[in-house]
Parts: sequence; structure tokens; C-alpha cells
Amino acid sequence: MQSFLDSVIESVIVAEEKRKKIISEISKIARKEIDVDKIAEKRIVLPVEKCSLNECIAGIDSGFVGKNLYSLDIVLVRARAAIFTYSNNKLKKADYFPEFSSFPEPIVSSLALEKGELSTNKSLHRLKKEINLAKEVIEKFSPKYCFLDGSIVPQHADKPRANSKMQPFYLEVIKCFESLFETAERKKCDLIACVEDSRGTRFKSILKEFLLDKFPVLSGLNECYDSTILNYLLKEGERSFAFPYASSVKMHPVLNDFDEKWASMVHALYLKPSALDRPLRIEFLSQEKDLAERAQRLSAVTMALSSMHRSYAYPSVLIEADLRAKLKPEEINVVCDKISDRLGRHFLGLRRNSRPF
Amino acid sequence: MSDYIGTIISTMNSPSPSEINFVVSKGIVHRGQFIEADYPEGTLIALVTNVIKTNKYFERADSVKEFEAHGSALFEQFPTSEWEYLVAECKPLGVFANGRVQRSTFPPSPGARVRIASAENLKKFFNFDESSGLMVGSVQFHDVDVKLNLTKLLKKHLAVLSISGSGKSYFTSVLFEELLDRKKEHGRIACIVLDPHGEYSSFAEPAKKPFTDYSNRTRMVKGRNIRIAVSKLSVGILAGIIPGLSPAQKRDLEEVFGELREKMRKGKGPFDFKDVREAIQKSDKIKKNTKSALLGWLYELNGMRLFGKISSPSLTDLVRPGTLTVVDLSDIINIRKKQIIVSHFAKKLFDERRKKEVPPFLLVLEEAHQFCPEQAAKETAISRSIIRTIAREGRKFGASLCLISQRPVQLDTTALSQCNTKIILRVTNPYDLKHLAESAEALDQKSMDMITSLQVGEALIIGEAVNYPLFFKVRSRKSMPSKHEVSLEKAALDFEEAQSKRDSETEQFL
Repeated sequence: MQSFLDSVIESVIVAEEKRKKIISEISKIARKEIDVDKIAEKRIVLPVEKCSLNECIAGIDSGFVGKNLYSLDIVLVRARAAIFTYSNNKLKKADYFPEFSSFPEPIVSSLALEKGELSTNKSLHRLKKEINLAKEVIEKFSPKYCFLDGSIVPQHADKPRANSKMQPFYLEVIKCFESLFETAERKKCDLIACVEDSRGTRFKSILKEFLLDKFPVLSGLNECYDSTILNYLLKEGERSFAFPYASSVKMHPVLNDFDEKWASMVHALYLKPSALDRPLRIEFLSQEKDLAERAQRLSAVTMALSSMHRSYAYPSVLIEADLRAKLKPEEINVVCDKISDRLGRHFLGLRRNSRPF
Repeated sequence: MSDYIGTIISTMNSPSPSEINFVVSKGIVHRGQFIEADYPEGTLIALVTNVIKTNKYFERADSVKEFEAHGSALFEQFPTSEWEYLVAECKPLGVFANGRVQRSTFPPSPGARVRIASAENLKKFFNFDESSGLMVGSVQFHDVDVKLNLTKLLKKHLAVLSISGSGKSYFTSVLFEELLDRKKEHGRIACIVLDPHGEYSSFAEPAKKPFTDYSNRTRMVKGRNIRIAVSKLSVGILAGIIPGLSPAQKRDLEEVFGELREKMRKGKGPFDFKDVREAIQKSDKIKKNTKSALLGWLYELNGMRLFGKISSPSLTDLVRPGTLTVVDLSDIINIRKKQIIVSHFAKKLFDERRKKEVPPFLLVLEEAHQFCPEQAAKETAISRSIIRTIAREGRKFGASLCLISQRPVQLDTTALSQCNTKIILRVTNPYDLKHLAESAEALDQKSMDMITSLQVGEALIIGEAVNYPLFFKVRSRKSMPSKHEVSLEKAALDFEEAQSKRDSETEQFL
């Protein structure tokens, strides 16, 4: 055991040292102007300007709990929006949508899904609720910014296989996303999706693609995520350049399912609102020509909402939405118990959950 | 029907027959308030024993500090007020079912709705006597008068306990007012208060509006005017007064008293200690040493100026139904003398009541721990024995006691335990609190905690007079306040004014 721990710790230290060395090389040019066409903002690291909050900002989050049973699966989903109105950088009003204490919506699935598809199914249901709520909130409250918890498009893992029974539902969810994008554009609301623990590697790929010639040391950046690199590279109050979500929309398994207009507008960047926390990835929609301005503006708003805590950087409006949406595992037990009371033995749990000892 | 104010929640230990918790969804609730909830067993009545505010945003000290480190308060960053919940911890007291109050033996379900207890239910629950009860105050946070049944409150004695200045005398004055205002058809008793500080003398003084005049129903006896007939003293009583009286000395004294009583019957008239001393000196049967000891003790007793040939005032004249007799002992400093008076009055009252020569009475003993101490030799607790006797046997004869004390721990346990109803005002001394908890099984830790934080005029009543311990607010008194209730500033001013008047008079005289 001891030797195992020693070897793990040793490998972590070695990897960290290696990364630090590489990043110290990049740091030398990170804040200088670079002439790379594909990097529209011409710098690897940019400062984020401070801004004062004086607008209406919405945050959407959802919570879900699920239970797999013998003949069906039950998922409880609760999506909630917190809508903060600011004046002089101070929170003046908080609204919620829908009402505060409504019971989560139960979703029963009896598609006889394969084991791997169960989590995809839950995730799609959750996404659909969340995205539809965001659209409703933008229509009803006209916020200037609408923060989403997670990515601005579904993840690869959310996409079912081509012959899956869930394929139509997935496409329906894609349509929901497109409808949200349309509504946001019409209502002049910026969507900002915040990814808490990003495993993205697109930023690293861009660096390697365009700077490897000048910095051969970058070839050593193989086994790490963007956020790991940027944790060293960014200082508090800085961000990375904004970059397209995918190198090729056509080649991307999810973006390819979107209308090309929206697919080409999906961008991302990393910013560091707090000194002791890792960088936060934000994703947003922007046309190429507006990218620099929009990246700067959205970073500034996100920074203003996220930099209050030295070791936890996340927009306050999403923290509140999360608290509102959160579900406890016991809540699904209440639903299952009620069904079980009425169905008796017809409503069987999984064998593994029925062990007598 | 009251509006719902909250919903019972589920916690690790509740709801249970002994504890429920509910989240307040409308308005506020206070500790000490009563709530009710309907459930299949009936209507549950519960006492709010604690109220807790919670807020997710303030649960972690480190997060609060961090978020506020930049100078703006947490509520300027998050809608913190939206997350504030009021959770009330309650103790179920009983269940109304089929028109009767039963013990709580089964809990309501989580989710059951809670409302403020209705006045009707509270009156029934606490068994208030709406027609002829003594209205001593109101239930805190409820618009319900506390109307206590006379028999249940006083028949098996009452104790009023609290630290100094918490309102014992005030409450007792309110009790006197109720007893003096009581209608004849409801049954009136006589009240006698043995008052070491003259706190009740204001009852005997004519009062103008806004105060109610009780002077026509109050008689005042000054301590210095009290005389106890020596001829009525038994040697047993004397043995209680005289420390260290030996059996031989008792016999001698008995013989002397016997001879003097014989002469009295033959027409010589009552005798006093002077006559007793002369008889001892003349006696041939008493040894010289015994004579000397007896004469010494009798000399000391005579020096108290308390004993005479006849007793005055006459108790049968004083003690009348619907009246108050204030025995003002404030001009007596000697504690033994006070104890002798208390012992005399208590014994006399009890004996007369046994013979039905006086009406049923309430004997109120202020500073009861001085007259009925817990740990004191017999010689220094002259009145303890008769107080214990009344406490034990008084209920059979309509002789009720009201013991008032600021040091329950120093009050005789036998007497205190016989007081079936206790009014407890603020008590902070841990020894007194422990003593109270031991003497009243209905007092749990939460009630004890509440006793320490009672305000002046707030009281807890436990025992026979109510079905369950009840916190209440003592009503405003109608009678004229005692002169003792003036502020320290006023007393100091009065003193200086009197002194300067005296000085100027002296100057003029010179």
C-alpha cells in the first residue's frame, strides 16, 4: 500500500513539475501580442475589466434523482431559475421561476433501455427541462444575461447511438436548444454557460496546433486538461482568449446535429475570478466579428458574479439556482413508496436493492 | 378556527409523542406559545419550547467570512432572506378527543398542519374556572385569562418562589385582590399575611382612583402591638421557644404553670411572666440551679415585650371571610420574636379553624424560608413545626398555606412538597433551580431554561391548579402599590429632603 501511494505521489509531482516548466515557457509570451490568425484576440491571456452590475441576470439550474426499478425507471427533475436584479453592484431583488416550493416533476421511462442508455435518458430529460425553463425565463423576465449550469450544448455522452430508441428524444432536445438560442437572440439576452469542472482540451489543442513551431516544449502537454494548464497560466482577474467550441462543426458529433448557424457561433474561454480556485470555463454564442467584444463583456459579468470567494469561483445567481433546484435522494423514495403502497408486488425494486442482509 | 401557521416536519427524533417540530410558514411563533394540530387521534395541544432560525447561507463560518471579505454583506450578493426558516420545537401536552384531555401517546404525521391554539381549547385544556376562578393574569401570547379554581389553587397549599424583585409580592397582591373581590356566593375565605417587610400595608390605607380601595376589607396588626397571653402558652410551646429546656426543667415549669392556671380558674385572673417568675422563686420544690436557669430564660422572654396577661389582637375578631389581615412585622428586628409571632398566629389559626371558630383561611407567609427553614436546629426554627403541621393536615380543615420565598433551597422540603401548586417567577440560582426541579416532577429541562429567562411579571404555574405547567403574565394590580416599590432614586431624594428639612428646623431652633 505504502509503495503504491509513494508511486502515485511521485508521478503526480513529476507531472506537475513538467507542466510548470512548460507553462513557464508559455508565460513568457502569454500576455504579449501574437500573430496567429486562428486566435482572434491575438493574445493567449487577457485581463478582464471590472464591471458594475446594474441589470437583470438569470441563472438556471436543475436537480435530478433517479431510481431504476424492475419494470421501469423513475426520474425526478426540478429545474429552477433565480432572477437577480442588481443596482450599483448590489442585489436589489430576487425572483424565482417557477414558484419556490413546487414538487419536482416525475418522469417515468419504460423504454426498456440498455444499461448504458439509462444515464443518457436521465440527462436528456434534465437538459430538456432546463433549456425550456431558460427560454421561458428569457421571455418572461427579459434578463440581460442568462447563466446556464453546464455546457451550452449537449455533451457527447448525451447523444444516443444512431439506432437507439432515444434518438428522437435527443433530436427533440437539440430543437429545444435551438429554440432557446433563437429566443435569446431575439430578446438580446446573452447566454453564458458555466462549466464547473471542465475536462475540455480544445485550448491545449489550439496552442499545440499554432505555437508548436515556436515552442517545441508544448509537445509535452499531452496528459492534461485545459483547466490544469490555465490554473498555472492565469492570474486572478485574467482570462484566456476565446476559441471556437470545436475545430470543425461538421466533424463534431453534437454540433453537427445543430443548425449550422448556431453550431458555428458556439465559443468558449476560461477565466480566473478567484486566486485560489481553478479557472472557470464559460461557453457562449458569438459571431466571429463580435467575438473579442462579447468575450470581454461576458467575462466581466461572470467575473463580477463569481469573484466574491477566494477559493470558490462560481456565479452567485447559479449558486442560488442550484440551492433551489437541488433534490435529495429521499425525495424519490417518497414517490416510490407511494406507488409501491398502491401497486404492491407489481412494483418491484431491483434484486440488488432487495437483499435481505 | 385559527389560520394555519406551519407544517410538522420530520427529524431524527420527531414527530413523536414527546416531541414535534414544525416549520413556520406564516407569521411568527414565540417560545411559550401553544399550538394545536388535528390528526386522527384528536386535536393535539403542544407548547413551543424553542424557536430556531436557520439559513443555509450562514451555516458555514468560512464561507460567510469569505463572501463578506470584499466589504459587501452577504445579503447584497445573495437573496439570503429567502432562505431563512423558523423551526419551532414543541412538546406535546395532550390530546383532545371525545371532549376529554388525554395524554399524547401517538404522534401526528409529518406534513400535518399546525395552528395557534384556540382560546376555547386552552381554557378547557388548562381547566380554567371561567365562572368563579381567580383571574391572576393572562396566558402569554394568547388572549386568554388565567382563571384559577379556588380549591385547586389553595386547598392543597401554594408556594410562590422567585429571586428578589421578580414580582412575588406583586403576584400575591393580585391574589389578595381576587380573594377580596370574590363574591359571597362563590365562597369567600379569610386571608392573613405575616408580612416581615410591611409590603402589604398599602392594602390597609385608603386609596384614590385609579387604585381600588381595599382598606375597608383590610385590617392591620402592627408587630409591636401583638401580645401573647402567657396563660395560653403550653410548656410544649415554651420548650420550643426556650433552647435546651431539660425534661426536669419542663416538669418544674409545668407544675408552676399548673398552679397559676388553677389560681386563674379560681378567679385570680390571667398571669404573665412576672407572675411565673415569682411563683418559681417562691417554690420549694424546684432546685436552686433549675430556678436560676428558668428565671434567666423567662427574664429574656419577658424582655421581648411580646408576652402579657391576655392575647391581643383577638384572632376571631380579625379573621373574617372576604377580608385581609396584614400582620406587619417590619418593626421587629429579632428573628426569634418574629418566629414566635408566626408560630403563635399559625397555631392559633389552625386550632380555631379545627374548632370551626374561624372561616377557612389562607395564611400567607412572606420570607417563608426564615420561618420554616430547611436546615436549622429546632431552637432556631420555632415556627417550622406548626407550618409543617398545617402543610400536612391543613387541607382537611380548610386551612391553606401560601409560602413565599426567594430561596426555595432554604425552605423546608416537607412544607414545600406539600404545596401542590407552585407559582414560579424568575429563578436564577442553580441550587434553587435544582431544588425546584426535584420538588416538581412536571418541570423538565426546557421549562427550567425558560424560568431563568422570565421577565418581571412573568410566571410559571405548575401543579394542581392547572393541568400542565403554564407560563403566564401576571395581570396589573388594582390596589395601591406598596411603598417598598419606590425607585432607589426616589428613596434617596426623599431621604435628603427629610434630612435638609431637619437641619433647617434645627438651625431655626438654635
